[in-house]
Order: sequence, then structure tokens, then C-alpha cells
Amino acid sequence: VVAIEHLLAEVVHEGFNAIAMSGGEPLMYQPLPRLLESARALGLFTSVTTNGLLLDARRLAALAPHLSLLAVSVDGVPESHDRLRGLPRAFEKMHGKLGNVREAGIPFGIIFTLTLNNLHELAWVAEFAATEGAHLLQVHPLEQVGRAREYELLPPDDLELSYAFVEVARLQERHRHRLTIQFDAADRALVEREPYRAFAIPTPEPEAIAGLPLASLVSPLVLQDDGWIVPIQHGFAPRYAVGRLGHGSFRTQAARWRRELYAEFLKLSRCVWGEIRDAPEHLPFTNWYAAVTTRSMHDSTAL
Amino acid sequence: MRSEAKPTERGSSKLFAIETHDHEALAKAVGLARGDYEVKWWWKYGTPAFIDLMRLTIEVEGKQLGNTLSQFMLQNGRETQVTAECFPYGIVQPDRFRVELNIQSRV
Repeated sequence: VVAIEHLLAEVVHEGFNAIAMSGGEPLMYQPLPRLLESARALGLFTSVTTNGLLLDARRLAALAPHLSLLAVSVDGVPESHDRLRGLPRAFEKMHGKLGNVREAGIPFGIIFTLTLNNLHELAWVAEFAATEGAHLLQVHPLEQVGRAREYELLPPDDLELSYAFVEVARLQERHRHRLTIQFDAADRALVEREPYRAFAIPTPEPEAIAGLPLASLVSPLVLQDDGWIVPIQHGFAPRYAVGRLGHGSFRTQAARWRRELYAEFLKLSRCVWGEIRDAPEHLPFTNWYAAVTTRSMHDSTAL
Repeated sequence: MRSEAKPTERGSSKLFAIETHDHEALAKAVGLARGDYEVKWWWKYGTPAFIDLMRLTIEVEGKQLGNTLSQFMLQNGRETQVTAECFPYGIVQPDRFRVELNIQSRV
């Protein structure tokens, strides 16, 4: 935890302003309150994603002062949630804890992981989120890590993301005054119009970026359980890693990344942007995070 | 649990009466939906694309309290709701106030 606290201080210096803690299950990590306290003291926005099973009053009291947003995973109607969690009554147990969250006064959101097969359950989850007093419903495409691989779940393809967009718009209209729904898919039109959002920019001269904080060049960064600090998403090829926990100061590693790997990262991003631009018109949404992560692995293995 | 067969049908097929090859109908539905919803940015799991609540605690002198509160209350509007609680120091004659502000996005 000391190493992570040092890392936090250094990433703040590099312009990062938020930390999101997610699975495994962050509430099983005993130093979590201390880590969040350190993060808040540094001025970071803090969020924790949880399955909700451990949200008892004692834990919440320790977290509440240091937590900006709590995100609770809901995978669908109770039967689906229990099946995907592999735990009988998982939904009922999670639901029973939400009262503790409200009593603790922690703003919370619900995260729905969208797969190829569960869009029809989103309306039910939206109603649940609104009724429970959630501020936010985040609709997030499945990532092929962790449970997804274990349970052989299928991520939504771009066709399903298009349908999901229509459904999200309908539900946002229905819950206009109760809930904000966030759809974590990239709009191809937006990406094409504003390439910088997908890091698809010409490689700048080194002196042009010398004084810029790292966060203005690449964000988010992910600290993986193996210690690698990679750009964008869990599973990004280590070849593009910004650094590794316990391998010297982050600032030194970040300076090296800026010098030696930033241009490679931009080249990769431009390549993915080109593929997005050239995609069929009838598929207006895509999972950009998955696209760029997958491409990073392919390029990596090709070397 | 893991031995259960996973559903093979698209989730959308239970919601939409559009054949998957009917690109025109889907494009029309997406076009209509764009009138209600816009993806301004896409974000990572567990991180909201916006901050919908800010809590702010400040201390002000008594003579500045009214003006300070007025400035914050001017932010009230269609997209933002500002509420404030004031706690006086120096009872019986308060000379300083702690002001706790909640700035909530209505979007």
C-alpha cells in the first residue's frame, strides 16, 4: 500500500485527477480505506466498483469520508445476476445492502455489463437503479477479462451496440428526471470528427510535449495486479506500458515512456482510428477500448 | 452454475422487431434516438464521464456570508442545483460561518 501511495502522489503530479478501484472485489482489500483517504488527500476523485456483498455499515463508515462514488454491479434481473455471479441469492444479498449505502450518504451508481445476450434486461435494471436512488446507471460493454473468460460470456458486437444505443436513449427519456444513463461505447461519428479523443493525432515534436503532464498525453492508466501500469485498459500489451510498480519512480518511467513509447502509442491509435473511420455506416457505435487493446496485443505479438 | 447453457440469442432480438440484416431500419432507429441521447464521450468501467455531485466546505466572515451565498446560489439553474448549510462560530454573536455547499448536476 505504501508503494501505491507513492505512485498516487506521482500520478497527481502528472495531472491525473481520478482513481477507480475495481475487481476482483476491492472491498476485500483491507487497506482500501487508507488508500482512498490518501487519494482524497491528494485531491483525487475516488470511485470503487463492487459486487455489493460486503457493504455493511462498518465498512461503509470507513469508506464514506473518502469515497466520491460507489459503483455497484448489477448483471441483469435477479436470476441472471445470480447465475452470472455463480452465487445463489447474490442479487438478494446485494439488494439488502443498498440501504446501508443510502444511510451512509455515499452517492452511488449501478453498473450494468452489457453482453451480446442481455440487452433486454437493461430496462429492468434501469427501473431498479432509479427506484433504489442511484445517481447513475453505467452501461458498459463486457471486457474479455476475469469472469467473462471464466463464464464464456460474449461481448456485444457493434451491431448489438447500435441496438443498445437505441434502448439507452429510450430509457434515458423514460427516467429523465430520476437517473443519468451513461453508455460506454464510442460514437464513430464523434471519433471521426474529433480524432484526438481516440489519440489519433500526428506525433508532436519532443519539445512540444516536454512540459506537458502525462495525463494530457494518455489517460486513463491502469495498474494491473501484476504491477504493470498500462494505458487505456486492463490487458493492454505490456510493450506499451508506462511503467511497473516497484521498478523505480513513476516520474522517471513516465519520462522514458514519453521519450520512447508515446510515438508508438500514437501510431497504434491512428491505426485503430482508421479502422473505425472505414467501418460500415450501419454500425455507428463501437467498443473503442476493446479495439485499441486488441490491436495492441496483435502488434505486440507481430514483433 | 457454470455448466448451465449460455443464452445464444441476441438480447436485442427480444426487444426490436428489426431483422439483423435490415441496416436501413436500424440506421433510422439510431437516427431517431440521436434526438434524445448523445454520447459525448465514452468512459472506463467504474468511472463516470462526469462528476454529478460536488461537496464544498468553506469558512467566511459574518459580513461576507450573504454575498458569498448569493454568488453560489446564482449557479442554480436548469442543469445545476446548489444547496447550502451554514454553521455559525462564536455564539452568542457569530463572527464566522462554516458553509457546506452541495452542487448537484441535474443532467
